[in-house]
Formats: sequence, C-alpha cells, structure tokens
Amino acid sequence: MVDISVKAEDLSVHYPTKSGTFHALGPISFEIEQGEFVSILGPSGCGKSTLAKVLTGIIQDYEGAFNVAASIETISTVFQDYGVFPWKTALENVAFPLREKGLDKSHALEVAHTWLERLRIDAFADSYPFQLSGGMKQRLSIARALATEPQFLILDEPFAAIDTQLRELLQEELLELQQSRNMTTLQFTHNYDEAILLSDRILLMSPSPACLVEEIHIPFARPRNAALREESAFADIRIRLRDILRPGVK
Amino acid sequence: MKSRILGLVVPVVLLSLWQVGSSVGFINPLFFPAPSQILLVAGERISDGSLFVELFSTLNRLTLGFFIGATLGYVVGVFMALNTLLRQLLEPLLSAIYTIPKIVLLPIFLLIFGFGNPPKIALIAITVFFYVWVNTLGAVTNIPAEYFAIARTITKRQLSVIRHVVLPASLPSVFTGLRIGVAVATLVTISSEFIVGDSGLGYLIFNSRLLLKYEDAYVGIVVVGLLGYLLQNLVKLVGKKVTPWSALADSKVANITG
Repeated sequence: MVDISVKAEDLSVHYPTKSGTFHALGPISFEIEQGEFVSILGPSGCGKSTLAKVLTGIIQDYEGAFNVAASIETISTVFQDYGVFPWKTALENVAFPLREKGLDKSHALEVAHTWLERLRIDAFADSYPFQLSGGMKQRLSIARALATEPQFLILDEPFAAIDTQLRELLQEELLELQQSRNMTTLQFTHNYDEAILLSDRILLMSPSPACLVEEIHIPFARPRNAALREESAFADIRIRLRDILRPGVK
Repeated sequence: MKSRILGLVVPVVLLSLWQVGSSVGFINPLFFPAPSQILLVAGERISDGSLFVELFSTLNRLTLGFFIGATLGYVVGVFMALNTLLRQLLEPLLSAIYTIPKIVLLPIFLLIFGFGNPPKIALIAITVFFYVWVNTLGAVTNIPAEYFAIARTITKRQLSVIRHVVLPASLPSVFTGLRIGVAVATLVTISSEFIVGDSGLGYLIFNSRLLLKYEDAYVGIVVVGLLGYLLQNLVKLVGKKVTPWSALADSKVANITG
C-alpha cells in the first residue's frame, strides 16, 4: 500500500462570461504518491495554468476537491513569473518563508545563504531581483521554495521564460535536488524533455475544456542524470507524447 | 552638470535686471527693492532671530499636520483597498471631497476648532490625507494577485502579508503622494497664515506688505520657496532610502535613457 500525498477529485472551473459560462477546466481527477514526481503536460493554452492556479490557491472558485495528505506540513511553489518579491533582496526572499516558519533571524539568514550557495547565486545575496538575469531569478525562486524543505513542491512552468541551454542546466540541477530529497512534486510544463527527464509519471492534458487524456509511466531508474536525454528510449517516449498531443493542437 | 548651469542662467539674468532697474530708479524701489537690499534685510532678520521664529512657527504646524494626514491617509487607503465593503461605503464621498480645494474648508475648521493652530493643522492634515490616500488606494489595489498568492503559500498570517507585501509594494506610490502632499501642504500652510493668525511665514509676508516693509515680504517669499523645495527633496531622499529596489530600478532606467 503506497501513501497517497495529493488527491484531486473532479476538479473543474467555470468562468462567468457575458455569453454564459465558460468551461475552462475539467473534470479532472488524479493522485500523486508520496515521493512521486508527476508532470502535467499539455500544449500552451490547454488549461494547465488554470489547474496550476487552482492548486496554488490563486483561483479559489472551483468545483470538486483537492486534498493534500494531513502529514504534509509544507507546500512550496515555484512560479513562472512573480516568483520572487521585487522589494526583497535575494537573501531576504529566501529568508522570508523561513522566518514565517518560526526560525530566528540569524538562523534563517544562515539557512537562506546556504541555499543561495547551493544554487550558485550567493554572490548576489544582497541584490534585488531587478538586478538579476532571468535564470538567476528562477534559481532564486527555486532556492526560496526548497529552503523550507517542503514535502510537496509545485512547479508552475518554472523554466518557460528561459533559453534552451540554461533551461537544460536548471532541469539537471532540479533533478539532483529533487532526487536527494524525495519530495512529492507536481510539475506543469509544455516541454517534453523536461517532463520525461524529471518525472515518474506524465499526465497528458487536452485543450478546452481541459481534461486528462492519458497517463504515461516513465520507466527510467533513479538516480537519473543528464545523459538520459541521449538514450533512444527517451526519444521513443518523446515521439509517443508528441503523437498523443498532436491531434489536440488546434 | 551642464544642465544645472543652464538652469541658473535665466534667474541670474532676471535678478541682475531687477538689481539694475531698482538701483537706477527704473522700477519703484519702494515696492520692488533691489535684491541686494532684500539680502541685507534677510541678514538682519537672521541675526536678530525673528525670521526663525516665523519659520519654526510654520514648520511646526506643517510637520504636525503632515504626519497626521499621511498616517490617516495611509491607513484608510490600505483598509479601503483590502476591504470591498469599506471601499463601496467611502470611495464616492472621499472622491467628491478630493476635488475640493482644501483651503475653502478653512472657515468650517475655524468654526469647529476655534482660532490658533488646530484649524490650520486640520487643514494641512486633510490636504496631505487626500494625496496619500489616493496614491495608497491605487497602489494597493494594483498589487498583482500573484504576489498575494505566493504570500499565502508562505504564510497564513494576515499581518505578515500586510508587512511583507502590501507595505513594500505600495511604498513607492505612497512616497509620490507624500512628495506632492508636502508641496501642496506648504502652499496651504502659507495661505492659511495669510488669512488668519499672527505667526508664520505667511503672516510675515502679508503683514510686511501692510506695513509697507516690502523687503521683509520678499525675504518671506524667498524662504517659502526654499522651504517647499527643501521639504520636497527631503521626502524624495527618505523615499529613496526606504525603497532601494525602486530607487535603484529608477536610476537604472535613468542611466539607459540619459
């Protein structure tokens, strides 16, 4: 019997519009096991972001249920934009959730600094986000999310705005961090490679009204590394994903 | 640097024309005493301390009214931005009062508060209140919902959200309001001293004219100008210190464009 960490049941979202209601999402049901990495993959505009907004609490008007296991105390989210507060320095951004968790100031700053080092942005500890590049900002966002040692991590298209080379590098860093911590993770992405490299399971989403169309298990053993991208089995899965999603692209 | 020097050219030329015109009697030196004469009187008023008495009198009511108005404006602005019911109740009324030139409220405040400092302080406070209120309301309602969402994933405490999101996100706008507020408050202070009372720079200017001591009136006018300029820059400086992310971002943009 595996522990279920996260359970979504018949989640759906309707927006009121001038010409009636718009069915934006669902119904969607899925479960995530303890320590599992699941990606929700779908083309841009398929309703992924609506689902992400429901799970991260931005959209509070939805039907159905979304439960996180009672044993999970900490949920962290890495957002595509707005991930860091522009009025806090890099160090303050990471220290903020630690302080809210009850750490005293010097301890929080110490832990925050360790995480900046781990993501190799400690040289910019006292910089404000506008002084950082897109990649550094996203590293900062990851450092902030992981510093509290969350048991459930939500990644909402974290690398969507980052160029390919840097994106691959950040994926590898995230892979390493995730494997060493055994966090339950849910990632939203439209990038095949990102989904295959990191996930135990991929849920494919069709466009409007967004529903899950298929579930694919990724068989590669852990710990994984970047070399996986070059294997033919990796390419096979990528082709399969593309074939499933293609008819849905309008 | 070059633009600063250029900015001084016109005042220097005008002052020179005034000096020469007044000295040779081309303009009436009784009503328009030469700048050198005004400077002389300014020296006297500084050394006998009488100028500072009026200056401190003005500054006293100005700063008191400013802090009362700014605090109330900020608090009311934040609460109205965060509470829809409060906004629906108060916004129409406050928006209507916002457009009234506050100096016309002086007779009413005189009725309510009597003579002396209180009616003037109330007038200054209400002036500053509206500039800070309108800027705070706008700033807080325009904070992207995503920042609140992130904050909610980090903390459940409403007070933390106010301290870590609402306060810093609204500060740059609030300081814009404070800067305009302090300039208009200076204007309102001087105007109210013109109309009622027996102290302050406004009184000095008005009374000197009545007594045909025009040099003193000009000294008062120059000091008022300097005061407004200095107060605005002081608010700007404090704003830069407390919102380094915004000040640095602005200077970065300034570097690119300038």
